[in-house]
Amino acid sequence: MNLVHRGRWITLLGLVLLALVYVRALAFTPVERFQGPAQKIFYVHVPAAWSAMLAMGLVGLCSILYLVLKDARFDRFAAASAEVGTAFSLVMLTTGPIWAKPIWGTWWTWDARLTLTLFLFFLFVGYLLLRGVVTDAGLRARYSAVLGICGLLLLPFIHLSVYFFRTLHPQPIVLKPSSPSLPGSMLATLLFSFGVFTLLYLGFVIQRYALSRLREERGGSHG
Amino acid sequence: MAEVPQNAGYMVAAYIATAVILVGYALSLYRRTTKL
Repeated sequence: MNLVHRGRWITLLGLVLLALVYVRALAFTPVERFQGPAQKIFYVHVPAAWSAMLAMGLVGLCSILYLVLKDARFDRFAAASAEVGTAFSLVMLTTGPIWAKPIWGTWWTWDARLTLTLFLFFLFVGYLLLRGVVTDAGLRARYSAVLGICGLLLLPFIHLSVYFFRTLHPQPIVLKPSSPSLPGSMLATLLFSFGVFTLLYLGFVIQRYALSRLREERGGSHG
Repeated sequence: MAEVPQNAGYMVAAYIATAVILVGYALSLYRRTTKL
């Protein structure tokens, strides 16, 4: 089985499992008393944010590896991860305001966490635009690697922004030094969703990487 | 005891938006890989 087909099967499995996340979240996970059903947006919003940050983390790491080793595979993977990260950050930025409206009474607020996640999205878009406009493959790889490393440096600020600044956004309830502060059934649904979103990231990135490789083999630019 | 808020519409909207974006991106990848 080639890389494209492998990526397609993983994506298909991920989408089927996403439907099961929906079923589990809607039918087998309790409704939170104070926020009501809108709290269940949590099961897609948080894993989407995780996948977007995973994507940018890997863009940054591959960018460093590219600059050190000059291996085009790292540049190709970084480009694939950036495109996939854009899709996940779009999910994060769409579901976040939909959750915020009934709970905070506003779609958006310019606090540190929200502004930095919007900046992350713009970094993804900027990264893809940069790759689109620079025609020389070597220059494109080098310029985008620098931008990718900037994205990697942004991640700790996003995660820690809720501790450093006053914000409406809740503090982490899973990725924190103490144990997760969630009832067992909610935590199980969240962890299941984390797994499914990670699987979707994997399926998408394999396909996108294979697409770049195919384009290169046919004499085009992988972009 | 306070009543549970009735805001299921927001949850449905978020779940639909998530599915549309992820399935849409999967289809875009499928289309681009089959065109080559």
